[in-house]
Parts: sequence; structure tokens; C-alpha cells
Amino acid sequence: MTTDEQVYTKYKDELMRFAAALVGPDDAADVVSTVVTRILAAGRSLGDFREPRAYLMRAVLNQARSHHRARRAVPAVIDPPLDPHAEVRPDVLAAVLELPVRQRAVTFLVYWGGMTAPEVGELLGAEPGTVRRYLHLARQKLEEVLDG
Amino acid sequence: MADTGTSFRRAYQAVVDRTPPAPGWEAIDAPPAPVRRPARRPVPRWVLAAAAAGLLLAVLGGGALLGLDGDPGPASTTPAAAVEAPPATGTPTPTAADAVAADPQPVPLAPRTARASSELSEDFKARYLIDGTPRAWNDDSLRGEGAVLTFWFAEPVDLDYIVIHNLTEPERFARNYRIAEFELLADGEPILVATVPDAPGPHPYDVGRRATEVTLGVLEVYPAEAFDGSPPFEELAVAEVEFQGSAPAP
Repeated sequence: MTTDEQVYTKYKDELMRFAAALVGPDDAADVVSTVVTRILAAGRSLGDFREPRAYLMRAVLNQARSHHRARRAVPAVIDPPLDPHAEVRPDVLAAVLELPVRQRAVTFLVYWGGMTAPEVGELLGAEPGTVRRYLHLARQKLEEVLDG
Repeated sequence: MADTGTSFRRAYQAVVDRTPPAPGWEAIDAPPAPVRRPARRPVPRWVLAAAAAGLLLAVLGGGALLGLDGDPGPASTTPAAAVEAPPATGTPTPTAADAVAADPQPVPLAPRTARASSELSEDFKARYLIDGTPRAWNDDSLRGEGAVLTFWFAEPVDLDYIVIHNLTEPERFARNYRIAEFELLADGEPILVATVPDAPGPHPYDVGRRATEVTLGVLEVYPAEAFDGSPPFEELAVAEVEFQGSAPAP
């Protein structure tokens, strides 16, 4: 097993979940594959980076933004849960999917990943205050849906 | 009604529940795509000179037109979400991370110096990458081969975004080579490899790093194209490279 493969194996599931939260499950594999292939094609090894997890997460975030720019007319679609007892409201899910990519990334890492604002900031290379601002903006939008 | 934090968690859980397994390493480790650079063909010097003169006229003429139209030139592209700091609300906060704190807005950061691995002429210098005008940098007819742009700040800055501005005028955009993929280094450390859409105008990228020296290495280019019967140029062109972020507190 190569170092590249070891690094990839270590982080691939986390990257996939993150990518799925940003672009939807259908395109997550494309985003992750593109990121890793591009790094290798540039002559880099995943083992080159001092903080490979942070590098890869930022790369996925950037690729997700490119993905959205390229497919602006086709937003990510996730079918609502089939389980009638599921607690996910389709309108809430739709609102989450319509958040700008950065807000979606930050809310995913905080609310699903259980990270704090400083931890998210360190991972994505943003100030904690910026992370909090994204959270606030995202919450405002979601509250509009919930209150509506 | 569920609080917003719980709603977020449920919505993301629904996404994660539907996430397929990550691609296997075999699927990732495909041979890299070849660099999209067509074979070099000789171009008479007079064509280059005419092209450069045409570009200069286009720059000057375009600038005048832009001035008449009130076009501000390369636009600041800080995402709207990062620009507006809304007032805090009284919503209960599910985690400590939710506390909304005053945060300095990302502001344009002006590098002290820009340097390029090559420049076509005095009219296409690297300094035009950071001058905030429609003037552009062109490499020295190398089709982007080995192009490296380096920017120095007077003091370390916290970079939030870098914005690569392609030319906006359709003919100039098409007839020049454009960056397709680049690598970014902060103080010599690789921090980003990203694709640039083949479209005119600004393209922002998250950076999130403190740096004094930022190096942009061009990895791949989109080929120049003929436009309305006019032949393609031999130069890689970039209108502007914009930096957004903040200077660290002393």
C-alpha cells in the first residue's frame, strides 16, 4: 500500500460525507475523485502535506464550489426520506441544499460533525468569527423556512 | 418546532444516509489527463507585433468604453455571505460555536509586488495583475508553458480568498490562452490545486492561510481560439489576481 493510498483510505469516508453535504450524494464521488486525481496529476503526493486532512477538505470545498458554478442551473437534488416516520422535512432539506456552499460546509461540520467554530476554522482555513457568521446566516435562512 | 440546530442535523443525516461508499483507490489512481497544450507552430514575428498592437488598442479603446459605460473593471467577488454581517438574533444556540461575534470583513489586500516568469512586453507586465484596471498580464508567447506568478505582501496577511480574473472582452478572452488549472503556494508550501472554469470574468477560491509570499503556478491551460476569423494569440492572459482577507492584528 502506498502512502497516497494510506492517506486516501484514512480520509475517504469523511471526504465523501463532506462532499455529499456540499453537492449531494450523486456527485460526491466525482468531487472526491477529481480532487485526489488532480493532486496526483500535479505531481504531488498526498503524503506531502503537513495537514492532509485540512488540505483535502479545503480542496473538496473548492471543487464543490466549482461544481456549483458549472452546474448552477442544476441544483443538487436529494429525494426526501421514504420512511414516513422520518423526522426530516422535505422543505428543510431543500432549504439546506440551497444554502451557499460555504454556509453548507460550515453548518455540516458544526451540526453534523460536532466541531466547534475554531475547529472548523482551523480545518477550512477561516477565522472562527467567519465560521460563526456563516452559521448565523445559515440559521437565519433555515429559520425562515421553519417559521413559514 | 425543532430548533434550527436539530433541523440541520436531521437534514444532513438524511444526506449522509444516502451517501454511497467512497470510490476505491483503483478508481482514483487513474493516469493523469494529458496537459491540453496543442503542438507549437511557428508564428511570424509580424503577427505577434500586430497582435500586441491590437491588444494594446483594445485595452485602450476598451478602457475608454468602459469608462463611458461606468464599468468599474474587475469586480470584487467576495461572496455575498461574507460581505454582509447581519445583526444577531435572539435564537437559542445549540452549541457554543453559534455565538455570533463581530468579525472583520474580508477586505481587498494589495500585494506590494507581482512578478511573472515571463512578460510579453511593457504593455503586459505582471504589475497589471494587481493594478485594479482592465489592463492584463500576458506571458511571453509561451502559451502558458511554465508560467509562474508570484506576489509579495509587505507583511503577513490572512488570505481568505484569491480571485482569478479572466479577460472579460469576448474576443480577447477567446484569442488568448487561459488558466485551466493552477497550484497555489503560500510561503513555499502548496495549499491549493484548483480548476478555473473556461469563462470570462472573476473566479474565486478559498485559501484560508497566512502568508507573505503567494505563488501561483499554472499547471494547465485552455488553448487560444480563433475569433471571427482572427487567429489565436500565443499568450496566456490574466486580467487580475485579487486577494481578499485581513492583515493580522499586531
